[in-house]
Amino acid sequence: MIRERLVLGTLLAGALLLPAVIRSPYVLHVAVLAGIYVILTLSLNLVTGFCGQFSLGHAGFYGIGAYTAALLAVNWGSPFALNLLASATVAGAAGFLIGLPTLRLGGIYLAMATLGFGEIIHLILLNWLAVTRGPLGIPAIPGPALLGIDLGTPARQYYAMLALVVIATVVVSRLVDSSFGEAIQAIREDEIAAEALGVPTTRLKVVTFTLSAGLAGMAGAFFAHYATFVSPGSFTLVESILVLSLLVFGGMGSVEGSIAGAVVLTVAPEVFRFLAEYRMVIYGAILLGLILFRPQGLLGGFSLGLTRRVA
Amino acid sequence: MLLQQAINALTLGSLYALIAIGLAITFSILDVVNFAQGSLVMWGAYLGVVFSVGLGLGLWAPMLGSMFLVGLLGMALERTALQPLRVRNAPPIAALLATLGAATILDHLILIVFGPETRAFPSPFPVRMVEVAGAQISTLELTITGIALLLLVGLQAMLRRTRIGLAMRAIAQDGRVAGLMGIDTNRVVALAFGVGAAVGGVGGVLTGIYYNSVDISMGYSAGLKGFSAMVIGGMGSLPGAILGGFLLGTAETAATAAFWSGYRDIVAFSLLILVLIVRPSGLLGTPEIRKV
Repeated sequence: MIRERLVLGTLLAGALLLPAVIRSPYVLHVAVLAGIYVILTLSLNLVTGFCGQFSLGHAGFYGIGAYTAALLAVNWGSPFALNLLASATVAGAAGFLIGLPTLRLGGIYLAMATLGFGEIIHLILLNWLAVTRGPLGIPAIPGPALLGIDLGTPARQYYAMLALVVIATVVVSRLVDSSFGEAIQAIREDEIAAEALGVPTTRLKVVTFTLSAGLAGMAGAFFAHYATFVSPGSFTLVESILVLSLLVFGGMGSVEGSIAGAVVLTVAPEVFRFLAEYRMVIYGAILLGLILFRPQGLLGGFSLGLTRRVA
Repeated sequence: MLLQQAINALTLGSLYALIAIGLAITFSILDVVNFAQGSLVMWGAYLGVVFSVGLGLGLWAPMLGSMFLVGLLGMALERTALQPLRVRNAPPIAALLATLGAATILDHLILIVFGPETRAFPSPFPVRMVEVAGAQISTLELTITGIALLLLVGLQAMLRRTRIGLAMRAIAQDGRVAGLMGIDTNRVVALAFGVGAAVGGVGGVLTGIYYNSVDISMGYSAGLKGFSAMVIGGMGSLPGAILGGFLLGTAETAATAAFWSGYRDIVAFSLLILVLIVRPSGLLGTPEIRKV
């Protein structure tokens, strides 16, 4: 317990001190990207890792969040903090509407349905020219700013991201440890048994899906403001599969794993840039190798005490 | 005009049916949705370009060559990525992820070998227009539809009339019992996977000829259309996959004629979701019963 806290504290201190030690904007840029993927992976972990419901459409919610923030900011000058909430709400609402009819489907059927929805969202972004400008995307989104303070420097953007990651981690960990979290993990283990014990399975699945979509939407809003440009190409099935790979890499149903998986697999391609075109082949090989040889993910049973250990 | 559109729909539908039927064979026998099917289709198309454009071998040799090589590739994929999971009794979702990993590898190998630019795939035979009941039909469309239908009939015959087909159907019903009856399940499953891949490979060659080009994103869209067709017809049902393919081809042709091509794909996925919500087992599938 004490050791876990110590490791956790050291990691957090390291994350806080990073901009002071390394001033390279490039390193901080990679760190911010890693943060966005940590939130996306946590979001997918909630619905897939903890609740056992496969989603192949998470890029859709990420995209809805990004476009909501982009459109609000460009058309009405709505501020960054408000857009984070608005994007989470809109993406969550989309998750609710999509989850309601589809979550009664199990396993592979749900995966196919969410895949279809993800693609439809991408196609709407691509073809609704009057609103989304189609393939041209939406440029000139104002950078993140908070209470009138411009978060223009790489270090400030990094801290904003870090704050968001910490909030997302705390929220997801507390949620998983609550009675709600226990119920959704019961659904993952055996849906029929959970139902027999009086767990309202469909309702909880829809709630989990909604929360997960909202979290992905919030990541999208941050991405839109940070990149100052969004286009439909960022929100395809490829992106959903990427996030799924991060989740599998870190280990499904582990909050620590989501963070480690997203950070390692976002940083690794940068480190291995010299491998150029072989990078994605290695990505695929890592995913395949992990499933074959280490299905519990990279970290497996490793824990920093973010969530209670379930026997 | 209507007849013209019907022929377009039939051609497109037979391409989708070929891709879907490969997926359906794999799903009915292994209970695995093969996310690498689109990549295998693309491999078939690129091999077709190499044989037909690069080596100038015409139509039949490239098609048989692609079919054979993609079939082998599919069997290799089954051996390395899926068989270990089956032996370990891993959850079905692990197999899905394994095929996703394999798809990533296969797609990017194509990118490395052939580069990102679109490659021309001219028709290996001179295309003429034939007039049938007032509609102009190209010999290309006739050939594509003909080959697709021939393959579909051949597959059905293999499954219904041969010993290996019987073994495949037995495994589809109950793999464990089939093993107890002396069927070498690992060999038959690998073969079934190879057959599914080979059909996809031919689908790739024909898709390439149909659009006159192959490119690095064709596997992605072919795979998605194949999934939609299979789900619409009923997961794992071969007649369903054919029906789903033709329905999808018809719906897309109608959508292109009525609106504009940008919404063509939305129709495909809306149909997919509609079927999943209303009748998850698909049009010709048997409803699954949840058991304790």
